Amino acid sequence: MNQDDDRDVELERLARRLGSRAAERLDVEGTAAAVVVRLRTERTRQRPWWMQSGWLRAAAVLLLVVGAGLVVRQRFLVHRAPADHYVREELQDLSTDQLREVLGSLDRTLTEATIEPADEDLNDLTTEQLRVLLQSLEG
Amino acid sequence: MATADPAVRPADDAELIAAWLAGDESAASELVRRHARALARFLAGAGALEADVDDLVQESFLRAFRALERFRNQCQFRTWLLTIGGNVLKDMGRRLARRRIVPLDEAVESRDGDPHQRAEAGETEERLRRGLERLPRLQREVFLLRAQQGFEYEDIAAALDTTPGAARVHYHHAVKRLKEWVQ
Repeated sequence: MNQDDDRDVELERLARRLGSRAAERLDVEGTAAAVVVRLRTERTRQRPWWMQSGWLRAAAVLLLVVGAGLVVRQRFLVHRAPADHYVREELQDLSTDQLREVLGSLDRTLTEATIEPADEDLNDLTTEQLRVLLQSLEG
Repeated sequence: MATADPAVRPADDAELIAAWLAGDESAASELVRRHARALARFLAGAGALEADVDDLVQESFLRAFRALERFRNQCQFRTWLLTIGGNVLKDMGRRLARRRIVPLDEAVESRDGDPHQRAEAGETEERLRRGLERLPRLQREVFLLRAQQGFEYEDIAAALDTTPGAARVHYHHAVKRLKEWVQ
Protein backbone atom coordinates (compact mmCIF):
# COMPACT_ATOMS: atom_id res chain seq x y z
CA MET A 1 0.00 0.00 0.00
CA ASN A 2 1.63 3.29 -1.02
CA GLN A 3 1.47 6.62 0.75
CA ASP A 4 -1.40 7.85 -1.41
CA ASP A 5 -3.51 4.81 -0.53
CA ASP A 6 -2.72 5.41 3.14
CA ARG A 7 -4.00 8.94 2.81
CA ASP A 8 -7.19 7.69 1.12
CA VAL A 9 -7.78 5.23 3.95
CA GLU A 10 -7.10 7.90 6.56
CA LEU A 11 -9.51 10.27 4.82
CA GLU A 12 -12.25 7.67 4.76
CA ARG A 13 -11.63 6.84 8.41
CA LEU A 14 -11.95 10.51 9.27
CA ALA A 15 -15.11 10.79 7.17
CA ARG A 16 -16.70 7.85 8.96
CA ARG A 17 -16.00 9.52 12.29
CA LEU A 18 -17.38 12.82 11.12
CA GLY A 19 -20.64 13.68 12.80
CA SER A 20 -20.54 10.69 15.12
CA ARG A 21 -20.88 12.90 18.15
CA ALA A 22 -23.99 14.58 16.73
CA ALA A 23 -25.42 11.14 16.03
CA GLU A 24 -24.67 9.93 19.55
CA ARG A 25 -26.30 12.98 21.06
CA LEU A 26 -29.45 12.66 19.01
CA ASP A 27 -32.50 11.62 21.00
CA VAL A 28 -33.80 9.05 18.54
CA GLU A 29 -36.94 8.12 20.46
CA GLY A 30 -37.79 11.77 21.03
CA THR A 31 -37.23 12.51 17.36
CA ALA A 32 -39.43 9.59 16.30
CA ALA A 33 -42.20 10.71 18.65
CA ALA A 34 -41.97 14.32 17.48
CA VAL A 35 -42.04 13.34 13.82
CA VAL A 36 -45.05 11.08 14.31
CA VAL A 37 -46.93 13.78 16.23
CA ARG A 38 -46.28 16.33 13.48
CA LEU A 39 -47.28 13.86 10.79
CA ARG A 40 -50.47 13.04 12.68
CA THR A 41 -51.29 16.74 13.01
CA GLU A 42 -50.73 17.23 9.29
CA ARG A 43 -52.93 14.26 8.45
CA THR A 44 -55.81 15.52 10.58
CA ARG A 45 -55.46 18.97 9.05
CA GLN A 46 -55.62 17.56 5.55
CA ARG A 47 -58.35 18.96 3.31
CA PRO A 48 -61.46 16.88 2.65
CA TRP A 49 -61.09 14.28 -0.11
CA TRP A 50 -62.93 16.37 -2.67
CA MET A 51 -60.56 19.31 -2.10
CA GLN A 52 -57.41 17.28 -2.58
CA SER A 53 -55.36 18.14 -5.62
CA GLY A 54 -56.10 14.92 -7.53
CA TRP A 55 -59.84 15.39 -7.31
CA LEU A 56 -59.57 19.08 -8.11
CA ARG A 57 -57.54 18.28 -11.21
CA ALA A 58 -60.05 15.65 -12.31
CA ALA A 59 -62.90 18.12 -11.76
CA ALA A 60 -61.08 20.78 -13.79
CA VAL A 61 -60.55 18.35 -16.67
CA LEU A 62 -64.21 17.28 -16.55
CA LEU A 63 -65.27 20.92 -16.57
CA LEU A 64 -63.10 21.63 -19.60
CA VAL A 65 -64.45 18.62 -21.48
CA VAL A 66 -68.08 19.50 -20.70
CA GLY A 67 -67.47 23.17 -21.54
CA ALA A 68 -65.82 22.34 -24.84
CA GLY A 69 -68.67 19.96 -25.65
CA LEU A 70 -71.24 22.66 -24.95
CA VAL A 71 -69.41 25.17 -27.15
CA VAL A 72 -69.20 22.72 -30.04
CA ARG A 73 -72.82 21.73 -29.65
CA GLN A 74 -73.95 25.35 -29.51
CA ARG A 75 -72.00 26.22 -32.66
CA PHE A 76 -73.50 23.27 -34.46
CA LEU A 77 -77.01 24.28 -33.39
CA VAL A 78 -76.49 27.94 -34.35
CA HIS A 79 -75.81 26.84 -37.93
CA ARG A 80 -78.83 24.59 -38.17
CA ALA A 81 -81.46 25.93 -35.84
CA PRO A 82 -82.61 29.17 -37.55
CA ALA A 83 -83.38 27.56 -40.90
CA ASP A 84 -85.23 24.69 -39.28
CA HIS A 85 -87.08 27.11 -37.08
CA TYR A 86 -88.31 29.43 -39.85
CA VAL A 87 -89.28 26.70 -42.32
CA ARG A 88 -91.21 24.89 -39.62
CA GLU A 89 -92.98 28.09 -38.58
CA GLU A 90 -93.95 29.02 -42.14
CA LEU A 91 -95.24 25.59 -42.96
CA GLN A 92 -97.37 25.55 -39.85
CA ASP A 93 -99.08 28.79 -40.86
CA LEU A 94 -100.06 27.54 -44.33
CA SER A 95 -103.42 26.07 -45.23
CA THR A 96 -103.72 22.89 -47.32
CA ASP A 97 -104.27 24.91 -50.50
CA GLN A 98 -101.28 27.08 -49.74
CA LEU A 99 -99.14 24.03 -49.12
CA ARG A 100 -100.24 22.60 -52.45
CA GLU A 101 -99.25 25.90 -54.05
CA VAL A 102 -95.86 25.83 -52.38
CA LEU A 103 -95.31 22.29 -53.55
CA GLY A 104 -96.35 23.32 -57.03
CA SER A 105 -93.96 26.25 -56.94
CA LEU A 106 -91.19 23.92 -55.80
CA ASP A 107 -91.92 21.71 -58.78
CA ARG A 108 -91.81 24.70 -61.03
CA THR A 109 -88.59 25.89 -59.44
CA LEU A 110 -87.01 22.54 -60.11
CA THR A 111 -88.28 22.34 -63.68
CA GLU A 112 -87.47 25.96 -64.49
CA ALA A 113 -84.21 26.13 -62.65
CA THR A 114 -82.46 25.98 -65.95
CA ILE A 115 -83.35 29.65 -66.51
CA GLU A 116 -80.09 31.53 -66.59
CA PRO A 117 -80.63 35.13 -65.44
CA ALA A 118 -77.53 36.27 -67.15
CA ASP A 119 -78.73 34.89 -70.47
CA GLU A 120 -82.18 36.52 -70.37
CA ASP A 121 -83.25 40.12 -70.39
CA LEU A 122 -85.20 40.54 -67.11
CA ASN A 123 -87.54 43.02 -68.73
CA ASP A 124 -88.83 40.28 -70.97
CA LEU A 125 -89.98 38.12 -68.04
CA THR A 126 -93.54 38.09 -66.78
CA THR A 127 -94.41 38.70 -63.15
CA GLU A 128 -94.92 35.00 -62.69
CA GLN A 129 -91.54 34.22 -64.19
CA LEU A 130 -89.89 36.81 -62.02
CA ARG A 131 -91.49 35.33 -58.95
CA VAL A 132 -90.39 31.86 -59.94
CA LEU A 133 -86.91 33.13 -60.55
CA LEU A 134 -86.78 34.86 -57.17
CA GLN A 135 -87.99 31.76 -55.45
CA SER A 136 -85.39 29.67 -57.20
CA LEU A 137 -82.71 32.15 -56.18
CA GLU A 138 -83.87 31.96 -52.55
CA GLY A 139 -83.20 28.26 -52.79
CA MET B 1 -44.22 -3.88 11.57
CA ALA B 2 -40.96 -4.86 13.26
CA THR B 3 -41.32 -6.68 16.55
CA ALA B 4 -38.95 -7.80 19.29
CA ASP B 5 -39.66 -11.44 18.54
CA PRO B 6 -36.44 -12.86 17.05
CA ALA B 7 -38.43 -15.49 15.14
CA VAL B 8 -40.15 -12.75 13.16
CA ARG B 9 -38.16 -11.25 10.31
CA PRO B 10 -37.88 -7.47 10.79
CA ALA B 11 -39.81 -5.56 8.17
CA ASP B 12 -37.63 -4.02 5.49
CA ASP B 13 -37.87 -0.37 4.59
CA ALA B 14 -40.24 -0.98 1.67
CA GLU B 15 -42.66 -2.81 3.97
CA LEU B 16 -42.47 -0.05 6.56
CA ILE B 17 -43.11 2.55 3.89
CA ALA B 18 -46.15 0.64 2.63
CA ALA B 19 -47.41 0.29 6.20
CA TRP B 20 -46.99 4.00 6.84
CA LEU B 21 -48.80 4.88 3.63
CA ALA B 22 -51.62 2.61 4.81
CA GLY B 23 -51.81 4.67 8.00
CA ASP B 24 -49.55 2.75 10.41
CA GLU B 25 -47.82 5.36 12.60
CA SER B 26 -45.57 2.81 14.26
CA ALA B 27 -44.04 2.14 10.84
CA ALA B 28 -43.05 5.79 10.62
CA SER B 29 -41.50 5.60 14.11
CA GLU B 30 -39.51 2.55 13.12
CA LEU B 31 -38.18 4.25 9.99
CA VAL B 32 -37.05 7.21 12.10
CA ARG B 33 -35.38 4.93 14.65
CA ARG B 34 -33.63 3.05 11.89
CA HIS B 35 -32.20 6.01 9.98
CA ALA B 36 -32.07 9.00 12.33
CA ARG B 37 -28.47 8.55 13.50
CA ALA B 38 -27.12 8.07 9.98
CA LEU B 39 -28.98 11.19 8.92
CA ALA B 40 -27.56 13.13 11.90
CA ARG B 41 -24.01 12.04 10.97
CA PHE B 42 -24.56 13.02 7.37
CA LEU B 43 -25.96 16.43 8.30
CA ALA B 44 -23.17 17.13 10.77
CA GLY B 45 -20.61 16.04 8.20
CA ALA B 46 -22.21 18.28 5.61
CA GLY B 47 -21.77 21.31 7.84
CA ALA B 48 -24.77 21.46 10.19
CA LEU B 49 -24.21 22.79 13.66
CA GLU B 50 -24.72 20.18 16.35
CA ALA B 51 -27.31 22.42 17.94
CA ASP B 52 -29.31 22.35 14.70
CA VAL B 53 -29.04 18.66 13.97
CA ASP B 54 -32.17 17.66 15.93
CA ASP B 55 -34.34 20.14 14.05
CA LEU B 56 -32.77 19.29 10.72
CA VAL B 57 -33.32 15.57 11.28
CA GLN B 58 -36.98 16.15 12.13
CA GLU B 59 -37.52 18.42 9.16
CA SER B 60 -35.80 15.97 6.81
CA PHE B 61 -38.02 13.12 7.98
CA LEU B 62 -41.14 15.24 7.64
CA ARG B 63 -40.22 16.18 4.07
CA ALA B 64 -39.41 12.59 3.28
CA PHE B 65 -42.72 11.30 4.65
CA ARG B 66 -44.64 13.97 2.77
CA ALA B 67 -42.92 12.92 -0.46
CA LEU B 68 -43.00 9.20 0.22
CA GLU B 69 -45.67 8.49 -2.39
CA ARG B 70 -43.17 9.65 -5.01
CA PHE B 71 -40.41 7.34 -3.74
CA ARG B 72 -40.17 4.46 -6.23
CA ASN B 73 -37.38 2.40 -4.65
CA GLN B 74 -35.00 3.81 -7.27
CA CYS B 75 -32.39 3.68 -4.50
CA GLN B 76 -32.25 2.75 -0.86
CA PHE B 77 -34.59 4.69 1.39
CA ARG B 78 -31.64 5.88 3.45
CA THR B 79 -29.78 7.30 0.45
CA TRP B 80 -32.93 9.10 -0.64
CA LEU B 81 -33.52 10.39 2.89
CA LEU B 82 -29.98 11.73 3.16
CA THR B 83 -30.30 13.65 -0.10
CA ILE B 84 -33.49 15.19 1.29
CA GLY B 85 -31.46 16.06 4.37
CA GLY B 86 -28.98 17.76 2.06
CA ASN B 87 -31.79 19.88 0.61
CA VAL B 88 -33.08 20.79 4.06
CA LEU B 89 -29.57 21.79 5.08
CA LYS B 90 -29.13 23.84 1.93
CA ASP B 91 -32.37 25.71 2.71
CA MET B 92 -30.95 26.57 6.11
CA GLY B 93 -27.48 27.08 4.67
CA ARG B 94 -27.13 30.82 4.78
CA ARG B 95 -28.41 31.08 8.30
CA LEU B 96 -26.13 28.25 9.40
CA ALA B 97 -23.15 29.75 7.62
CA ARG B 98 -23.62 33.04 9.46
CA ARG B 99 -23.85 31.31 12.81
CA ARG B 100 -21.20 28.70 12.25
CA ILE B 101 -18.51 28.95 14.93
CA VAL B 102 -16.94 25.68 15.99
CA PRO B 103 -14.12 26.33 18.42
CA LEU B 104 -11.42 23.71 18.32
CA ASP B 105 -11.64 23.02 22.04
CA GLU B 106 -15.32 22.03 21.65
CA ALA B 107 -14.11 18.85 20.02
CA VAL B 108 -11.74 18.21 22.87
CA GLU B 109 -13.70 18.96 25.99
CA SER B 110 -16.07 16.00 26.06
CA ARG B 111 -13.65 13.23 25.04
CA ASP B 112 -11.56 10.82 26.99
CA GLY B 113 -7.87 10.00 26.36
CA ASP B 114 -4.73 12.01 25.93
CA PRO B 115 -5.51 15.72 25.59
CA HIS B 116 -2.76 16.23 23.00
CA GLN B 117 -4.02 13.36 20.81
CA ARG B 118 -7.58 14.54 21.24
CA ALA B 119 -6.63 18.02 20.17
CA GLU B 120 -4.74 16.68 17.16
CA ALA B 121 -7.59 14.40 16.11
CA GLY B 122 -10.05 17.23 16.59
CA GLU B 123 -7.90 19.50 14.49
CA THR B 124 -7.71 17.03 11.59
CA GLU B 125 -11.43 16.43 11.80
CA GLU B 126 -12.03 20.12 11.81
CA ARG B 127 -9.85 20.55 8.70
CA LEU B 128 -11.89 17.87 6.99
CA ARG B 129 -15.10 19.60 8.02
CA ARG B 130 -13.86 22.91 6.67
CA GLY B 131 -12.62 21.20 3.52
CA LEU B 132 -16.05 19.67 2.96
CA GLU B 133 -17.63 23.09 3.30
CA ARG B 134 -15.38 24.36 0.51
CA LEU B 135 -16.40 21.59 -1.87
CA PRO B 136 -19.23 22.05 -4.36
CA ARG B 137 -22.42 20.60 -2.92
CA LEU B 138 -22.60 17.61 -5.25
CA GLN B 139 -19.00 16.61 -4.54
CA ARG B 140 -19.58 17.00 -0.80
CA GLU B 141 -22.72 14.87 -0.83
CA VAL B 142 -21.21 12.17 -3.02
CA PHE B 143 -18.14 12.06 -0.78
CA LEU B 144 -20.20 11.74 2.39
CA LEU B 145 -22.59 9.18 0.91
CA ARG B 146 -19.64 7.10 -0.23
CA ALA B 147 -16.95 7.59 2.42
CA GLN B 148 -19.06 8.25 5.50
CA GLN B 149 -22.14 6.15 4.74
CA GLY B 150 -20.62 3.46 2.53
CA PHE B 151 -23.17 3.51 -0.31
CA GLU B 152 -22.46 2.11 -3.77
CA TYR B 153 -22.06 4.52 -6.68
CA GLU B 154 -25.19 3.11 -8.34
CA ASP B 155 -27.29 3.95 -5.30
CA ILE B 156 -25.73 7.39 -4.90
CA ALA B 157 -26.30 8.12 -8.57
CA ALA B 158 -29.97 7.10 -8.38
CA ALA B 159 -30.55 9.27 -5.32
CA LEU B 160 -28.81 12.29 -6.82
CA ASP B 161 -30.32 11.78 -10.27
CA THR B 162 -26.97 11.32 -12.00
CA THR B 163 -24.96 8.44 -13.44
CA PRO B 164 -22.69 6.10 -11.49
CA GLY B 165 -19.77 7.27 -13.64
CA ALA B 166 -20.46 10.89 -12.80
CA ALA B 167 -20.80 10.01 -9.11
CA ARG B 168 -17.43 8.28 -9.24
CA VAL B 169 -15.83 11.34 -10.85
CA HIS B 170 -17.34 13.64 -8.20
CA TYR B 171 -16.00 11.37 -5.49
CA HIS B 172 -12.49 11.32 -6.88
CA HIS B 173 -12.44 15.09 -7.31
CA ALA B 174 -13.62 15.47 -3.73
CA VAL B 175 -10.97 13.08 -2.38
CA LYS B 176 -8.21 14.79 -4.35
CA ARG B 177 -9.10 18.21 -3.03
CA LEU B 178 -9.72 17.06 0.53
CA LYS B 179 -6.36 15.33 0.69
CA GLU B 180 -4.68 18.58 -0.30
CA TRP B 181 -6.54 20.55 2.32
CA VAL B 182 -6.62 18.09 5.19
CA GLN B 183 -3.12 16.55 5.20
